[in-house]
Amino acid sequence: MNRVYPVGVVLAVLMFAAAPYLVMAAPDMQVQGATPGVLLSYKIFFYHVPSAMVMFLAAFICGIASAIYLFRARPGADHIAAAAAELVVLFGLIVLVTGPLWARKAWGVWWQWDARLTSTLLMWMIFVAYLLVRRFGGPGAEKLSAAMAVFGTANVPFVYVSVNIWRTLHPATSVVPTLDPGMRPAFWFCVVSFMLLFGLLLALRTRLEQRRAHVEQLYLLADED
Amino acid sequence: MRHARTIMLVLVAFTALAASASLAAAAQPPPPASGQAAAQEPQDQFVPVKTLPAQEQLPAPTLVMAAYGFVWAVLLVYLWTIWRRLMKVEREMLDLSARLGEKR
Repeated sequence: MNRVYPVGVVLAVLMFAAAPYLVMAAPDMQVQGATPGVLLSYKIFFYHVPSAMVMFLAAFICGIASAIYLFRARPGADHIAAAAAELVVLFGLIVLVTGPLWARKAWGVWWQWDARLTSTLLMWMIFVAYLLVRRFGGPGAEKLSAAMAVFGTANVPFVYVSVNIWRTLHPATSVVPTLDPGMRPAFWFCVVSFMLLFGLLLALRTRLEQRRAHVEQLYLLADED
Repeated sequence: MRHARTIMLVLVAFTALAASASLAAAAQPPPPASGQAAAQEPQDQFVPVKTLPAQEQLPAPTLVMAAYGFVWAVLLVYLWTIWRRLMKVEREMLDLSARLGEKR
Protein backbone atom coordinates (compact mmCIF):
# COMPACT_ATOMS: atom_id res chain seq x y z
CA MET A 1 0.00 0.00 0.00
CA ASN A 2 2.88 2.40 0.74
CA ARG A 3 4.09 2.16 -2.85
CA VAL A 4 0.67 2.17 -4.48
CA TYR A 5 -0.61 5.16 -2.54
CA PRO A 6 1.70 7.92 -3.95
CA VAL A 7 1.17 6.59 -7.49
CA GLY A 8 -2.58 6.68 -6.94
CA VAL A 9 -2.41 10.22 -5.59
CA VAL A 10 -0.42 11.47 -8.59
CA LEU A 11 -2.79 9.71 -10.99
CA ALA A 12 -5.86 11.18 -9.27
CA VAL A 13 -4.36 14.70 -9.36
CA LEU A 14 -3.53 14.37 -13.06
CA MET A 15 -6.99 13.07 -13.88
CA PHE A 16 -8.63 15.91 -11.94
CA ALA A 17 -6.42 18.38 -13.77
CA ALA A 18 -7.46 16.98 -17.15
CA ALA A 19 -11.18 16.66 -16.32
CA PRO A 20 -12.18 20.36 -16.76
CA TYR A 21 -10.63 20.46 -20.24
CA LEU A 22 -12.46 17.30 -21.28
CA VAL A 23 -15.70 18.66 -19.84
CA MET A 24 -15.41 21.97 -21.70
CA ALA A 25 -14.64 20.09 -24.91
CA ALA A 26 -17.75 17.89 -24.57
CA PRO A 27 -20.55 18.79 -27.01
CA ASP A 28 -23.45 20.95 -25.84
CA MET A 29 -26.68 19.30 -24.83
CA GLN A 30 -29.38 19.47 -27.52
CA VAL A 31 -32.48 20.99 -25.91
CA GLN A 32 -35.10 22.75 -28.02
CA GLY A 33 -35.64 26.33 -26.93
CA ALA A 34 -32.91 26.26 -24.30
CA THR A 35 -30.86 29.43 -23.79
CA PRO A 36 -27.04 29.34 -24.03
CA GLY A 37 -26.91 29.78 -20.26
CA VAL A 38 -28.94 26.63 -19.66
CA LEU A 39 -26.79 24.69 -22.13
CA LEU A 40 -23.60 25.82 -20.37
CA SER A 41 -24.89 25.04 -16.88
CA TYR A 42 -25.33 21.36 -17.83
CA LYS A 43 -21.52 21.04 -17.59
CA ILE A 44 -22.06 20.72 -13.83
CA PHE A 45 -23.51 17.27 -14.69
CA PHE A 46 -19.97 15.92 -15.21
CA TYR A 47 -19.12 16.46 -11.51
CA HIS A 48 -22.59 16.18 -10.02
CA VAL A 49 -23.42 12.65 -11.26
CA PRO A 50 -20.02 11.04 -10.48
CA SER A 51 -20.24 12.56 -6.96
CA ALA A 52 -23.66 10.97 -6.54
CA MET A 53 -22.34 7.60 -7.74
CA VAL A 54 -19.50 7.79 -5.22
CA MET A 55 -21.92 8.83 -2.47
CA PHE A 56 -24.05 5.71 -3.14
CA LEU A 57 -20.96 3.49 -3.24
CA ALA A 58 -19.69 4.92 0.05
CA ALA A 59 -23.12 4.36 1.62
CA PHE A 60 -23.12 0.70 0.52
CA ILE A 61 -19.62 0.16 1.90
CA CYS A 62 -20.58 1.81 5.17
CA GLY A 63 -23.73 -0.30 5.51
CA ILE A 64 -22.02 -3.60 4.70
CA ALA A 65 -19.09 -2.87 7.00
CA SER A 66 -21.48 -1.80 9.78
CA ALA A 67 -23.47 -5.02 9.40
CA ILE A 68 -20.26 -7.06 9.64
CA TYR A 69 -19.28 -5.12 12.77
CA LEU A 70 -22.73 -5.63 14.35
CA PHE A 71 -22.93 -9.36 13.71
CA ARG A 72 -19.27 -10.42 13.73
CA ALA A 73 -17.80 -7.73 16.07
CA ARG A 74 -14.77 -7.15 13.84
CA PRO A 75 -13.01 -3.86 14.72
CA GLY A 76 -11.56 -3.55 11.19
CA ALA A 77 -15.08 -3.41 9.75
CA ASP A 78 -15.96 -0.60 12.15
CA HIS A 79 -12.93 1.42 11.00
CA ILE A 80 -13.98 1.05 7.36
CA ALA A 81 -17.58 1.97 8.22
CA ALA A 82 -16.52 5.15 10.01
CA ALA A 83 -14.30 6.17 7.10
CA ALA A 84 -17.00 5.44 4.51
CA ALA A 85 -19.64 7.37 6.48
CA GLU A 86 -17.48 10.48 6.43
CA LEU A 87 -17.12 10.13 2.67
CA VAL A 88 -20.89 9.77 2.25
CA VAL A 89 -21.25 13.13 4.00
CA LEU A 90 -18.44 14.68 1.95
CA PHE A 91 -19.64 13.57 -1.49
CA GLY A 92 -23.28 14.05 -0.47
CA LEU A 93 -22.45 17.68 0.32
CA ILE A 94 -20.95 18.05 -3.15
CA VAL A 95 -24.10 16.56 -4.72
CA LEU A 96 -26.45 18.75 -2.65
CA VAL A 97 -24.58 21.95 -3.55
CA THR A 98 -23.75 21.35 -7.23
CA GLY A 99 -27.30 20.15 -7.93
CA PRO A 100 -29.02 23.41 -6.92
CA LEU A 101 -26.35 25.45 -8.73
CA TRP A 102 -27.36 23.58 -11.89
CA ALA A 103 -31.06 23.64 -11.02
CA ARG A 104 -31.09 27.43 -10.62
CA LYS A 105 -30.38 27.76 -14.33
CA ALA A 106 -32.15 24.67 -15.64
CA TRP A 107 -35.35 24.86 -13.55
CA GLY A 108 -35.33 28.48 -12.44
CA VAL A 109 -35.33 27.50 -8.75
CA TRP A 110 -32.59 26.54 -6.29
CA TRP A 111 -34.53 23.66 -4.72
CA GLN A 112 -37.70 21.60 -5.10
CA TRP A 113 -39.12 19.30 -2.46
CA ASP A 114 -39.52 16.48 -4.96
CA ALA A 115 -38.83 12.78 -4.30
CA ARG A 116 -35.22 12.61 -5.44
CA LEU A 117 -33.95 15.79 -3.80
CA THR A 118 -35.81 15.23 -0.53
CA SER A 119 -34.78 11.57 -0.20
CA THR A 120 -31.14 12.43 -0.96
CA LEU A 121 -31.15 15.14 1.70
CA LEU A 122 -32.68 12.75 4.25
CA MET A 123 -30.14 10.04 3.48
CA TRP A 124 -27.31 12.56 3.84
CA MET A 125 -28.71 13.70 7.20
CA ILE A 126 -28.79 10.09 8.46
CA PHE A 127 -25.06 9.79 7.82
CA VAL A 128 -24.40 13.19 9.42
CA ALA A 129 -26.24 11.80 12.45
CA TYR A 130 -23.98 8.71 12.28
CA LEU A 131 -20.91 10.95 12.63
CA LEU A 132 -22.46 12.94 15.48
CA VAL A 133 -23.35 9.75 17.37
CA ARG A 134 -19.81 8.42 16.96
CA ARG A 135 -18.34 11.70 18.13
CA PHE A 136 -20.62 12.42 21.09
CA GLY A 137 -22.36 9.12 21.82
CA GLY A 138 -19.97 7.90 24.50
CA PRO A 139 -19.41 4.20 25.22
CA GLY A 140 -21.32 1.90 22.89
CA ALA A 141 -21.65 4.59 20.24
CA GLU A 142 -19.98 2.35 17.66
CA LYS A 143 -22.77 -0.21 17.74
CA LEU A 144 -25.53 2.38 17.78
CA SER A 145 -24.04 4.22 14.81
CA ALA A 146 -23.53 0.92 12.97
CA ALA A 147 -27.26 0.22 13.28
CA MET A 148 -27.99 3.73 11.94
CA ALA A 149 -25.68 3.09 8.99
CA VAL A 150 -27.55 -0.08 8.06
CA PHE A 151 -30.77 1.93 8.10
CA GLY A 152 -29.20 4.71 6.04
CA THR A 153 -27.86 2.29 3.44
CA ALA A 154 -31.31 0.75 3.03
CA ASN A 155 -32.41 4.16 1.73
CA VAL A 156 -30.05 4.07 -1.25
CA PRO A 157 -32.25 1.95 -3.60
CA PHE A 158 -35.24 4.16 -2.81
CA VAL A 159 -33.27 7.32 -3.53
CA TYR A 160 -32.11 5.86 -6.84
CA VAL A 161 -35.52 4.71 -8.16
CA SER A 162 -37.46 7.69 -6.77
CA VAL A 163 -37.14 9.57 -10.06
CA ASN A 164 -38.65 6.62 -11.96
CA ILE A 165 -41.57 6.06 -9.57
CA TRP A 166 -42.67 9.60 -8.76
CA ARG A 167 -43.12 12.59 -11.03
CA THR A 168 -40.09 14.81 -10.35
CA LEU A 169 -38.20 17.66 -11.93
CA HIS A 170 -34.99 15.69 -11.55
CA PRO A 171 -33.88 13.76 -14.69
CA ALA A 172 -34.62 10.04 -14.66
CA THR A 173 -32.10 7.22 -14.40
CA SER A 174 -32.28 6.71 -18.18
CA VAL A 175 -30.05 9.77 -18.78
CA VAL A 176 -26.69 8.03 -18.27
CA PRO A 177 -27.40 4.89 -20.37
CA THR A 178 -28.68 7.07 -23.24
CA LEU A 179 -25.97 9.72 -23.01
CA ASP A 180 -24.85 11.37 -26.25
CA PRO A 181 -21.74 9.50 -27.58
CA GLY A 182 -19.79 12.77 -27.64
CA MET A 183 -20.36 13.26 -23.90
CA ARG A 184 -19.47 9.73 -22.83
CA PRO A 185 -15.63 10.05 -22.76
CA ALA A 186 -15.73 13.14 -20.51
CA PHE A 187 -18.41 11.64 -18.29
CA TRP A 188 -16.75 8.26 -17.73
CA PHE A 189 -13.36 9.94 -17.29
CA CYS A 190 -14.88 11.99 -14.46
CA VAL A 191 -16.49 8.86 -12.99
CA VAL A 192 -13.14 7.03 -12.94
CA SER A 193 -11.41 10.11 -11.44
CA PHE A 194 -13.94 10.36 -8.64
CA MET A 195 -13.84 6.61 -7.97
CA LEU A 196 -10.04 6.69 -7.76
CA LEU A 197 -10.16 9.67 -5.43
CA PHE A 198 -12.76 7.90 -3.30
CA GLY A 199 -10.58 4.80 -3.01
CA LEU A 200 -7.58 6.86 -1.91
CA LEU A 201 -9.59 8.87 0.62
CA LEU A 202 -11.17 5.71 2.02
CA ALA A 203 -7.75 4.08 2.47
CA LEU A 204 -6.35 7.20 4.13
CA ARG A 205 -9.31 7.71 6.43
CA THR A 206 -9.41 4.02 7.41
CA ARG A 207 -5.72 4.24 8.32
CA LEU A 208 -6.55 7.21 10.57
CA GLU A 209 -9.22 5.13 12.36
CA GLN A 210 -6.79 2.24 12.81
CA ARG A 211 -4.21 4.59 14.31
CA ARG A 212 -6.80 6.01 16.69
CA ALA A 213 -7.74 2.52 17.85
CA HIS A 214 -4.06 1.75 18.41
CA VAL A 215 -3.68 4.96 20.47
CA GLU A 216 -6.63 3.93 22.63
CA GLN A 217 -5.00 0.58 23.28
CA LEU A 218 -1.77 2.36 24.24
CA TYR A 219 -3.72 4.59 26.66
CA LEU A 220 -5.21 1.47 28.28
CA LEU A 221 -1.75 -0.07 28.60
CA ALA A 222 -0.38 3.15 30.07
CA ASP A 223 -3.23 3.25 32.64
CA GLU A 224 -2.64 -0.36 33.64
CA ASP A 225 1.00 0.38 34.31
CA MET B 1 5.34 11.34 8.08
CA ARG B 2 5.46 9.92 4.51
CA HIS B 3 1.70 10.25 4.33
CA ALA B 4 1.92 13.82 5.64
CA ARG B 5 4.29 14.81 2.83
CA THR B 6 2.07 13.14 0.27
CA ILE B 7 -0.99 14.92 1.61
CA MET B 8 0.78 18.29 1.52
CA LEU B 9 1.85 17.67 -2.08
CA VAL B 10 -1.72 16.82 -2.99
CA LEU B 11 -2.99 19.99 -1.28
CA VAL B 12 -0.57 22.17 -3.20
CA ALA B 13 -1.29 20.42 -6.48
CA PHE B 14 -5.06 20.71 -6.07
CA THR B 15 -4.76 24.41 -5.25
CA ALA B 16 -2.77 25.09 -8.38
CA LEU B 17 -5.06 22.99 -10.53
CA ALA B 18 -8.20 24.56 -9.12
CA ALA B 19 -6.91 27.86 -10.46
CA SER B 20 -6.35 26.34 -13.90
CA ALA B 21 -9.82 24.79 -13.90
CA SER B 22 -11.35 28.16 -13.09
CA LEU B 23 -9.46 29.70 -15.99
CA ALA B 24 -10.75 27.00 -18.32
CA ALA B 25 -14.32 27.64 -17.23
CA ALA B 26 -13.87 31.40 -17.51
CA ALA B 27 -12.82 30.99 -21.15
CA GLN B 28 -16.51 30.40 -21.99
CA PRO B 29 -18.21 33.47 -23.49
CA PRO B 30 -20.89 35.08 -21.30
CA PRO B 31 -24.52 34.41 -22.29
CA PRO B 32 -26.25 37.07 -24.41
CA ALA B 33 -28.31 39.67 -22.52
CA SER B 34 -31.95 38.70 -22.17
CA GLY B 35 -34.67 40.55 -24.10
CA GLN B 36 -37.82 41.98 -22.49
CA ALA B 37 -38.20 42.70 -18.80
CA ALA B 38 -40.84 40.73 -16.93
CA ALA B 39 -43.53 42.01 -14.56
CA GLN B 40 -42.38 43.07 -11.10
CA GLU B 41 -45.18 41.29 -9.20
CA PRO B 42 -44.16 38.52 -6.78
CA GLN B 43 -43.87 35.20 -8.57
CA ASP B 44 -46.42 32.66 -7.42
CA GLN B 45 -46.02 29.96 -10.05
CA PHE B 46 -43.35 28.34 -12.15
CA VAL B 47 -42.44 30.58 -15.12
CA PRO B 48 -39.80 30.21 -17.85
CA VAL B 49 -36.46 31.66 -16.80
CA LYS B 50 -36.15 33.98 -19.84
CA THR B 51 -39.28 35.91 -18.82
CA LEU B 52 -37.70 36.91 -15.50
CA PRO B 53 -36.20 40.41 -15.15
CA ALA B 54 -32.48 40.66 -15.90
CA GLN B 55 -31.46 41.00 -12.25
CA GLU B 56 -33.15 37.66 -11.51
CA GLN B 57 -31.15 35.80 -14.13
CA LEU B 58 -27.83 34.55 -12.82
CA PRO B 59 -25.11 34.12 -15.44
CA ALA B 60 -24.37 30.47 -16.17
CA PRO B 61 -20.53 30.78 -16.10
CA THR B 62 -20.77 32.03 -12.50
CA LEU B 63 -22.84 29.01 -11.50
CA VAL B 64 -20.56 26.55 -13.31
CA MET B 65 -17.42 28.10 -11.78
CA ALA B 66 -19.05 28.14 -8.34
CA ALA B 67 -19.91 24.44 -8.66
CA TYR B 68 -16.44 23.39 -9.79
CA GLY B 69 -14.75 25.70 -7.28
CA PHE B 70 -16.87 24.30 -4.46
CA VAL B 71 -15.89 20.72 -5.33
CA TRP B 72 -12.19 21.57 -5.30
CA ALA B 73 -12.49 23.62 -2.11
CA VAL B 74 -14.37 20.88 -0.23
CA LEU B 75 -11.85 18.21 -1.26
CA LEU B 76 -8.92 20.43 -0.27
CA VAL B 77 -10.43 21.25 3.12
CA TYR B 78 -11.18 17.58 3.77
CA LEU B 79 -7.62 16.55 2.88
CA TRP B 80 -6.32 19.25 5.23
CA THR B 81 -8.52 17.99 8.10
CA ILE B 82 -7.31 14.41 7.56
CA TRP B 83 -3.70 15.65 7.59
CA ARG B 84 -4.28 17.52 10.84
CA ARG B 85 -5.92 14.54 12.53
CA LEU B 86 -3.21 12.15 11.34
CA MET B 87 -0.51 14.45 12.72
CA LYS B 88 -2.27 14.64 16.07
CA VAL B 89 -2.66 10.87 16.31
CA GLU B 90 0.96 10.27 15.28
CA ARG B 91 2.13 12.66 18.03
CA GLU B 92 -0.01 10.89 20.62
CA MET B 93 1.35 7.51 19.52
CA LEU B 94 4.93 8.70 19.86
CA ASP B 95 4.26 10.23 23.29
CA LEU B 96 2.53 7.11 24.58
CA SER B 97 5.16 4.78 23.17
CA ALA B 98 7.87 6.85 24.83
CA ARG B 99 5.96 6.88 28.12
CA LEU B 100 5.45 3.13 28.03
CA GLY B 101 9.11 2.63 27.11
CA GLU B 102 10.24 4.71 30.13
CA LYS B 103 8.07 2.76 32.56
CA ARG B 104 9.53 -0.53 31.38
